[in-house]
Amino acid sequence: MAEGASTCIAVRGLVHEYRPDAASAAFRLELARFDLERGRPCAWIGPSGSGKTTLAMLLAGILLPQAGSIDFEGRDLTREAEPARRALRLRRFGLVFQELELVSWLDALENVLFPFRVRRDLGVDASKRQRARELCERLDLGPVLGRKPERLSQGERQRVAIARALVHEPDVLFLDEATGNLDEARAGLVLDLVLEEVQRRDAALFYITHDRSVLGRFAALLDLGVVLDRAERLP
Amino acid sequence: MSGLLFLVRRRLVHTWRQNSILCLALGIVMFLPLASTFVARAFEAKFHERAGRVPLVLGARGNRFDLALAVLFHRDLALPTLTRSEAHAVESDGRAYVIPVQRRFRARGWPIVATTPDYFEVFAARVARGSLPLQLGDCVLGAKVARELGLDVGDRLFSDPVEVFDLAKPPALEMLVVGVLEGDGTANDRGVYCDIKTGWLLEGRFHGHEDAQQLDKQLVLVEADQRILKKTVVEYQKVTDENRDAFHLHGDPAELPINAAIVVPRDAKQRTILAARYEQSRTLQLLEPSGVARELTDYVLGIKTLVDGLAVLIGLSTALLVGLVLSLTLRLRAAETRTLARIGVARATLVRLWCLEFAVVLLLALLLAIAATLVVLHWAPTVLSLS
Repeated sequence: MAEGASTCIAVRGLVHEYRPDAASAAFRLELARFDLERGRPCAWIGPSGSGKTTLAMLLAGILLPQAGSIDFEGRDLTREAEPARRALRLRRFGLVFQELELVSWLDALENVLFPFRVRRDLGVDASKRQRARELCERLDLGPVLGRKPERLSQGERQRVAIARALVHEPDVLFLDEATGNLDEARAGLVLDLVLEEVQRRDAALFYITHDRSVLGRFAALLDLGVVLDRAERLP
Repeated sequence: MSGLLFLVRRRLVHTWRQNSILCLALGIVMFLPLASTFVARAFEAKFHERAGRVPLVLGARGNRFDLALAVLFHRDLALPTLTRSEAHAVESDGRAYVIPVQRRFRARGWPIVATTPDYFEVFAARVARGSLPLQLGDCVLGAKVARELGLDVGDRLFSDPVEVFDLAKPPALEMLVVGVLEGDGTANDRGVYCDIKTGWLLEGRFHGHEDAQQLDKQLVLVEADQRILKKTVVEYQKVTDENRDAFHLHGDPAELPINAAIVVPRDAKQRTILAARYEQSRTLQLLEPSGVARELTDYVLGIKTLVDGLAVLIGLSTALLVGLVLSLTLRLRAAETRTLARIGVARATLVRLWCLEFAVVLLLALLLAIAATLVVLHWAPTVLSLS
């Protein structure tokens, strides 16, 4: 653990095995130990199919491993019930996945505000609307705020999904190839914003990418293939 | 909840075409049993209320439903006639009094009911302006007739000619409006009422023309003990104070035709005696309108049961189709649902969102069905000629 950083998510003895389809061989992911720390943005690289997205889903409590523990602030996510894990994600985590889907019947701004709409304890007030607008402005989405997803480009959709992940100031951000559809300039814009938010909130960042040119901006760099090779094999 | 309501509203607006079709389909399914129930009840209430006012109706043998509907609701049903003397035979021994009714002609499309002043008492029809039609050529208008024709006391109203090209038929009669009835939402509002003699005048039994002795000889067909005039002699088309006394009848007054007679027995016993007397008659029938009303409403309720049965089947098939539509919709929204689940939206929230959406569609469909039922209830009495 780096000096001054606090562990946000601690993984111990993780084993997850699944078969993508009947014809394929079973995929087995093992991770003996891993700590995701606050304030130390962590970039994950690794070959396609190495299990980066699966690991992100496990850490976010979307998937449950066959063995091991995933500890978030003293709560073992593997022992939490589905509704509790969902509530945790909605309140504390921000997620952007490769298969991003926006709500087709809401415009870009309302998609960004969506996490507030579905939370019973929150509504949308002027300050939240203001924050959503500021994020969108930073992501160069100002002119398309009133457009529905069907009228947005793939890159614009991706940026709306990123704004949605950031709007409620999450403690942990999971971004899975979140800039994959963006040009270099816009990808830089997005990364600037994400890193700024992480620093400001002292949040944890789990950033999956294939773009090696941005790796220098992260405090921790992990190659999932290497991690898996080096991980202690579980009995 | 307000956040969910916001989302539901946005979703419904976004898919308004599909939702409108769904609302319409569900609304029609709800409308059928609603409308059939309320229309049947309204029909039953109106029919029984009016039938209850008339103790007995005497008419020529024929369809008893036609006779009752013609007397109670002014329906145009070619009723066989009975003679004035046959009707008055009922009251000859003091068991009852009769109110003659002739229901054959129309004035600007509205039914003319020729009768006597007692008729208005039986049907609780009160004059709002003017007086009852006591003189030949006078008429009183139902409230709706007066309103729709824009006529009032002192105006004139032509009867509709029975046959424009047949000179043998009586010409249209210009009647004087002497009164307008209070509107009461019953069949009273939809009639033009005149004295029974005016009815016979419409029929050509009564007529008036210039004094035969004073006419030009060219208009005389035969000159013997009496002068028989040619048909080219124009009959009076309106009754005035000057010519009223000149109207006359050729023939036996006892043989004047009427379509029906309302019979008001002195008491229940006389009623029973009269009913028994006419039971065996081959030419006349004496019916109790309440009984006919019961028969007709039983018939209507039978049809309603059939309609309800069909509505259940339609409802079932619609429910299956709606189920299919909803399942396809959920499948179309699978990717969106998966993402929402990943970002942490609770399953219960998603279910609430879908249920609220469907509940709003159902509510709108119900409101549509109620609105359509109210429209039908408003027009049904007119369509069924019950008011």
